[in-house]
Amino acid sequence: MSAKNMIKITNLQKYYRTEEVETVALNNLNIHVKEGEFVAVMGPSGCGKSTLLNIIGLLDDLDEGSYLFNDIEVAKFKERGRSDLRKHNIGFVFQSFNLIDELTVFENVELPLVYTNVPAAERKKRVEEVLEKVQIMHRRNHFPQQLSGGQQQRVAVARAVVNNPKLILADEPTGNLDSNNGNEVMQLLTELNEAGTTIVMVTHSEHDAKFSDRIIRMLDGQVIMETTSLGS
Amino acid sequence: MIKNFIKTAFRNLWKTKGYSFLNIFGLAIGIAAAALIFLWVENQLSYNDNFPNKKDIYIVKSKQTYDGATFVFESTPGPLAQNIEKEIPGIKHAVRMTWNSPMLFSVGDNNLFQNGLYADATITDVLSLEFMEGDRKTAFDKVDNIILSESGAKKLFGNQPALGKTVKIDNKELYIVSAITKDLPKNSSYNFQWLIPFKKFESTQDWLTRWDNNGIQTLIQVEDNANVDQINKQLMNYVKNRTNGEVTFSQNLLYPMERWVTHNRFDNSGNEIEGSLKNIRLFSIIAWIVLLIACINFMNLATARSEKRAKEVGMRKVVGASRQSLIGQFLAESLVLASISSLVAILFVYICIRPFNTMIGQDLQVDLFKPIHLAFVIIITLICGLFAGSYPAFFLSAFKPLSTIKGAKQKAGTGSLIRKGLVVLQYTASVVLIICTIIIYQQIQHNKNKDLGFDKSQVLTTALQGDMAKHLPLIKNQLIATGLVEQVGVSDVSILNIYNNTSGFNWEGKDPNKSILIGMLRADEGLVPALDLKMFDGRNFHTNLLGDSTSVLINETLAKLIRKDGHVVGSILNYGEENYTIAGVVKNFVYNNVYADPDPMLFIPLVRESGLLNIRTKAGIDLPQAIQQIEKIIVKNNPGFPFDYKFLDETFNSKFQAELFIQQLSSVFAIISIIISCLGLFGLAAFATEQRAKEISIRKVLGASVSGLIQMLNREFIILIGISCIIAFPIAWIFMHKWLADYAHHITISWTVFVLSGLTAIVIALLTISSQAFKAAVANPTKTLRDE
Repeated sequence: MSAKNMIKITNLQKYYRTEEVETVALNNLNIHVKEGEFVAVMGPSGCGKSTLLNIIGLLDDLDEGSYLFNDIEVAKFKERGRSDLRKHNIGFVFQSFNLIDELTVFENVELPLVYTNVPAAERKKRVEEVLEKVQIMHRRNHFPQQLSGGQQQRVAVARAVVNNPKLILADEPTGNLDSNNGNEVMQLLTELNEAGTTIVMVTHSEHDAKFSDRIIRMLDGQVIMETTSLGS
Repeated sequence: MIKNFIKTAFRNLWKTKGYSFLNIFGLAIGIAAAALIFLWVENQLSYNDNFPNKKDIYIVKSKQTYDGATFVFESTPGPLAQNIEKEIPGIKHAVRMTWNSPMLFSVGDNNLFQNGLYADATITDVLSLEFMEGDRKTAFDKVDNIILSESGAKKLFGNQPALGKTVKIDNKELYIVSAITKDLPKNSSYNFQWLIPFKKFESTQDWLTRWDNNGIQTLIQVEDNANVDQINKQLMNYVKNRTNGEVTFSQNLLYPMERWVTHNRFDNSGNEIEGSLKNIRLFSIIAWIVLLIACINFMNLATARSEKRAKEVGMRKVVGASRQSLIGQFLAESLVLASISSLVAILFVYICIRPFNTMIGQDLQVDLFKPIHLAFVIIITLICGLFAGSYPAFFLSAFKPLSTIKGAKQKAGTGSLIRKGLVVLQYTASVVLIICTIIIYQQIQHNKNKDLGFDKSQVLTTALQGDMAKHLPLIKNQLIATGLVEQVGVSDVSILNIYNNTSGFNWEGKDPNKSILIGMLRADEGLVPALDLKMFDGRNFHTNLLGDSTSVLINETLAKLIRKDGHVVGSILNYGEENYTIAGVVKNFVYNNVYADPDPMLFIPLVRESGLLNIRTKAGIDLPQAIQQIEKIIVKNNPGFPFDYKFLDETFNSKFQAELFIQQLSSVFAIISIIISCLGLFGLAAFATEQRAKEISIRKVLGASVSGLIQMLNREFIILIGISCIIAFPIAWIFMHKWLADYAHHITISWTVFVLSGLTAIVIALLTISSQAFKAAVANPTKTLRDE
C-alpha cells in the first residue's frame, strides 16, 4: 500500500513585489511529498527552491494556491497557527546552521522542547539522547562558536529532530561543510529518514541529492523534472 | 522557560558589556536621582508624622486686614489660650508658647546658645513628647524647672547625668533640669533644645494680659472628632466679643498641623495657597522626567542592537516561539537589567545621601526594610523594566523569521524613526531643565544684587547681651578707636526682619476708615550710617537720643502715603496719646519680603536694653583680625558671654533658601539628565558608526577626508538636538514665565538663555559623539571591507 501524502501543494503562485516590479518566484507549482519520503529539490540559484522550502515550512506566505499538510489546508493559517504547526511537526536545518550564539549546545537543542512545554526532566533525557545520536554529547556545554562547522550542523540537526518532527526541511545542509563533514550530516539525515521522518532537502549538490528517494528539479519557479534517485 | 530567558539575558548583557554598562549605569543614575527626590517628597509629606495627635493639632492664626490687604499671622493675644480652652467646646488643650529663640546656657565653664521656648505644661501632652528621664506630670511644677532635649542635655552635660542639675541662663537665672525628652526628628515643625514653663515668661511680661497685643503663639489640640468648623465659628470673632467690640483688628482661626508644611502661605485676600506642595509637585515631575530619560536610553540601545539579536529572534520563531513568548523574553531581559540597575542605584543612593542631605538641610534616611522604601524599589524596577522593555519587546518580536535567519537587515524605517523621536524627547527634557536652571539662577542673582537701599556688605551683627547695653557708649568708642570699625548702630531686631508692627499710628489727613499696618524698628542714631541708609529728606536721629525721644524716621513708602511728594518732615504722627515728629524720611530699603516693594515702616528711638549691635567694618581691612579685635572689646565689657556674630549678607542670603533649594536641585537634575542623555547618545553614536562602517570605508577609499566623515556622522545627531531645542524653547519659556510671575520684581527672560542652553546641549552632544565618529573615520578601511 502506498503511503499517503504529507504535503500536497497545488497551483502555488508566489510573487515578490517592490513598488515598481513584480517578480514571479513560484509559478503554478504543484508538488506532493509522501510520508516517510526523502525528497531533494535542485535547481540553479534564484529558481525558487528555497522559497518553496520556506512556504512548506510555513516561514513564508503563498499568494495563490492550496497547501495541504496532512490533509489540512494551512495556506491561510495565521501566525499563531503556523507557529503551533511548526513546533509540533517540522524541524529545520539551515546551510548556516543558525544556532543561537548565546546558548550552549545543550540549550540550543533544548529550545524546541522549551517552547512545547516539555517538563525539564523529560527535556534533559531527550536532549541527551539526541546528542548521543549525533555524537556531540561531549560538547554539550560548549557554545556554537567553539565548534567546527560539521559539529555545528550536527547540533542543528539534533535541534531539528529533538521534538520528533514528522518533517525535516533542510536548506543546503552541507553547503558550508567540507566533504567529510557533509557526508556525516547526509548520513544522519538518511538514518532519520530510515527511522520514518519525512525529509525535504534543497541542495545544489548532485552528490547529496543521491541520498534522496526523489529529486525535483526546478527552473524559473516551476518544476521541470522529477526523477527517482538511484541512491548513493 | 523563565530560566532560559534569564540565562540568555545575562549572556547577552555580558556579550555586549559596553552597551550593558551604558544601559545599567544610565538607568541606575536615573533611578538613584528619582529615589533621592522621592525620599525628599516622603520627608516633606511625612512632616510632623512623629506627633501621634497630628490630625488633632492646630495653631491659632490671626487674620488682619489693612488697607484692603489681608495678612495672616501666627501671633495671638496672651489671654486667648486659657479662655478658649474653658469656653469653646471641642478644644482639649490650648497651649501658650513663645517662638523658638536662643538663650545662653552655662554649666560650669561650658557656655553655649541653645534654642528653645516657653510653653504651658500641656505642650508635653499635645506633642506627645517622649520622656527619657523625669516625670511628665511634675516636670513643669515649678517655674524654675527646665526640660532639656536629649541632644541639648548632651551638649551641656556631656555624658554626665543632667536630671536634677542646675543650669544658668543668660548669666543670671538658675533652673533645675526636671526632665529629658527624646529629640524630635528634623522633619518636625518643632525643634527645641529646652522648654521652660510659660508662667516664668508670664511673670515678666505685663502685656500678656492684654487682648490687643498679639505676641505669643497658641497651639491647640482638639478633642477626637471635634467639629473644627464649629470651633472656628466661635473663634473667629472671639477677641472682638470678649472685649465688647474694642479689639477688632484680628479674626482668629484654627490652622491644621497637616497643612503647615504643604500649604501655610496666604494671598493678599487671606486665602490659603500652596506652600511646599508646589515644590513637591515640581520635583516629582522632574523625578519622573529623569526616569523617563533613563528608560528612553534603554529603549534606544535595545532597539539599536536589535539587528544583532535578529537571528536569535528568527531562530526562536522557527523552532516554535510565539510572539507572546518572545515579548515575555524581552520583558524578562529588561526586568533583569532594571533589577541590576536598581541594585546599583541603591548603592548610589547610599553614597549620595549624605551630600544630598547637606545640600537640602534635611536628614533623609534610606531603610530598605521600611515597607515603603522596599515597595518603591520594587515598583520602580517593575515600571522601568516593563516600560523600557516594552518597545524593544514589541519591536523585536515582530521580526519576520525568514528574513532574519537569512541575514536580511530589518527595515530601519519605523525603528530608527522612533529611536530618533526618543532622542529628541530626551534632549528636549534636558534642554528644558538647563533653561530652567539658568533662569532660576538669574532670578536669584537679580534679587540678591538689586539695590537694597542699604549696604549689607562688611556689616556684622551681634546680640546685645548681659551688660552690653549699659556699656554701649564705651563699647562704641572702643570699637571706633580700633581704626577697623567705620560705624556702629543699634536696632532692636535685624533690619531684614522687622516683624513688629502696628496700625495704631494716625496723622492729619488720614482716612479714618483706613487701617494701615506700619512696621516698627527701634534704632539709635548709629543705625542709619552703619547700614549706609540714605536720607530722602530731613535728618537722622540726634546723637543725644534722649533729647530726640519724640522724633521718628519714616520710610519713603509711609511718607508718600502721608503726602504724595513724600516731603513730610516736621509733620506729627500720633499713637494713642503720644505725638511723634517726623525728623527724617529714609529712602526706601528692602526688608522682610525681598521680592516685594517695601511696606510702610518707621524708626523709633531705641530705649530698650536689648537688641542688636550692627557693626560696619572699614573696607579693605583684614577682616579676621577686625573680628578678633571686636570680640576682645565686647567680651571685656561683657564677661561671661560668648561672642556670637552673623554677617548681615548671610542673613540676607538665608532669605533665598527656598529658591536656592530649587536652584540647587534643578541644576543637579539638569546635569544628571544631560549625563544620562549623553550615555544614550554615546551608545547610539557607537552603534550608528558600527552600522555604517562599510559605508565609511568605501567613502574613505573613494577619497573622503576624516573631517568630512566626522561631519557626516555628526550631522544627523546635531539635527536631532536642533529639533529638541526648537521643541524645548517654548515649553521652557511657558514654564518659567509662570514661575517668574510669582515674583513682583523679576527678570525678563532673555533670548540669550535659549541660545546658551541650545549651544550647551549641542556642544555636549558633539563631544559625546565625535569620539565615536573620529574612531570610525580614522579606522583602516581595508579591515572593515575585508570583514564584510
